[in-house]
Amino acid sequence: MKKNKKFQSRSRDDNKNSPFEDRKKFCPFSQKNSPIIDYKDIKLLNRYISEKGKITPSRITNVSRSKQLELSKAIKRARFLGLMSFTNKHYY
Amino acid sequence: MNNFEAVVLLSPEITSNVRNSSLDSLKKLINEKSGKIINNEDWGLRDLSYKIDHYSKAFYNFYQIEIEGDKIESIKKTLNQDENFIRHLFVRVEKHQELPTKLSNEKK
Repeated sequence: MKKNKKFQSRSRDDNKNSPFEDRKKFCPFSQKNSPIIDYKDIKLLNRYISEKGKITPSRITNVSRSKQLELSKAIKRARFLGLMSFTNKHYY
Repeated sequence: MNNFEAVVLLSPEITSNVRNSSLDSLKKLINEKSGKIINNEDWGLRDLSYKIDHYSKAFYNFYQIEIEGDKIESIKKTLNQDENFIRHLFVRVEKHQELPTKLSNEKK
């Protein structure tokens, strides 16, 4: 049974048909000159919330775990201060 | 001495001299607690994205402070009692970012 499991994971990588899927996923905050996460920078935070004002999950935005934690803290602080809404997204 | 960032919201109904006096009382309070205000910034009247105490607008003030960590509790208590301040937030930071911040209205 163990051998079978190993075989199964390998086949999943082989049958990737489109070249786009293996585009290297990178975190937009841990590059060299990536922006600093700050609860005052609401224009940057607005990019990471959905239309209903919810924080988009990191599996969609490819943000690393530590930066996603910083991001959610900053969004919650901005919401507390009334800079960002809890229920919808403010477009500039 | 830790570095703190303080954001203070003031109700829109009070007149400007009452607002300045309450801000001065906050400055005096911080200096009493052997704290030091590095610099401050007035973000002016902004509309809130949701109603706080039935207000839909508020005056924002931003302070960069250097103070002992355990003095913050007493400052928060006095701010809670004062009804001119509708909301306040103290954030501990490693080092102060340079001004102007993203929300300052000098750019406009």
